[in-house]
Amino acid sequence: MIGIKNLKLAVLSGIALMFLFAFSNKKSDNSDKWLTKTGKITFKSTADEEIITAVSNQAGLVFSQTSGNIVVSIPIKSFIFEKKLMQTHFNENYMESGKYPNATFSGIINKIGTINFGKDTTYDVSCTGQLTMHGQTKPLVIKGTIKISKNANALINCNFDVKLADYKIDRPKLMLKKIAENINITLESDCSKFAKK
Amino acid sequence: MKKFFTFLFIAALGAGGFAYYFYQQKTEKTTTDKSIAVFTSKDLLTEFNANEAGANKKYGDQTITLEGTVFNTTVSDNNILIELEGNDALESVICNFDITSLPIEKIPKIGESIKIKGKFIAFTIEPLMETKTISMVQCLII
Repeated sequence: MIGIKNLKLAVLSGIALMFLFAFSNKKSDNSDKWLTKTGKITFKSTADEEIITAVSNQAGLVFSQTSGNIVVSIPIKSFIFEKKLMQTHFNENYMESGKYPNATFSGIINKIGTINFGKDTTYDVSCTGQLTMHGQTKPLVIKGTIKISKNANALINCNFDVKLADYKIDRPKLMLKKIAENINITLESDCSKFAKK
Repeated sequence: MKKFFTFLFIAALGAGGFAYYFYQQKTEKTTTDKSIAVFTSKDLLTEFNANEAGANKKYGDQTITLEGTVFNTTVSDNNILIELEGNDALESVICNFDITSLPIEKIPKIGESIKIKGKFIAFTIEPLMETKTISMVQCLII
């Protein structure tokens, strides 16, 4: 009888320890993650009367090579325009960057298991997720490429359009010919495998 | 009457010129504002970790001076990104320099200690790894 009790106790303790171990390691185990904090995002508005472009080199991108989870976040104020007035209007009137400081894409890289991270190859990939911008979250599917190189780099490129109305970004009537209804977004991110310092 | 129309014409011309000047004004490459505080990159991250809302309010769009160790450098078109070390491998400060204010040959080496002045724009915690990043723009080495 005592033997069975001890056995139960040992099994329960073992399970408890396994849970403790799993949760204590959840945060710190990033060995399957790839990241960059200097991803480049370009946006281009091609309207009848004007073409507007802006670039940010401060996009943070992290993905897991095992689960395929991917997060891209970008401070809105990091977009640089050629003209100061355009940058001010972009932040204050359209994106309201004081209220909504970041845009974030959170999703999953589909079929990540087909990518060989040890071989120099370029893969066509797609991501399914949600883009949150200007306080609005919408589903988004993005197609792009991942180029793996031997020196533990993963170059991610993609290009997609976002419709301003979907994110409640209003174009004043006077600006309809100057700001396009759909904005083209290009992402270029050279990710490295995470290594602890 | 003629004088009035002449005045109106000159005023309209002046207003138009003024509007055109503002419309054509280029975005600043470096901040010209006076620095409101001096920190190490690690101390600034510590302050944001302790009170993000308070620090955002205090330093949002302000020019600050930072001292730190270079962890990474990236050249991207006309911009140079210098990453300063944080308190651990997940934390850092990204400083954006226009190439006209930091020529490629003068980019500091990894491990070098530098002092920069720039405009704080954001503190971001990315949810997948919980990396923490402070973003600075219009930077210059001082």
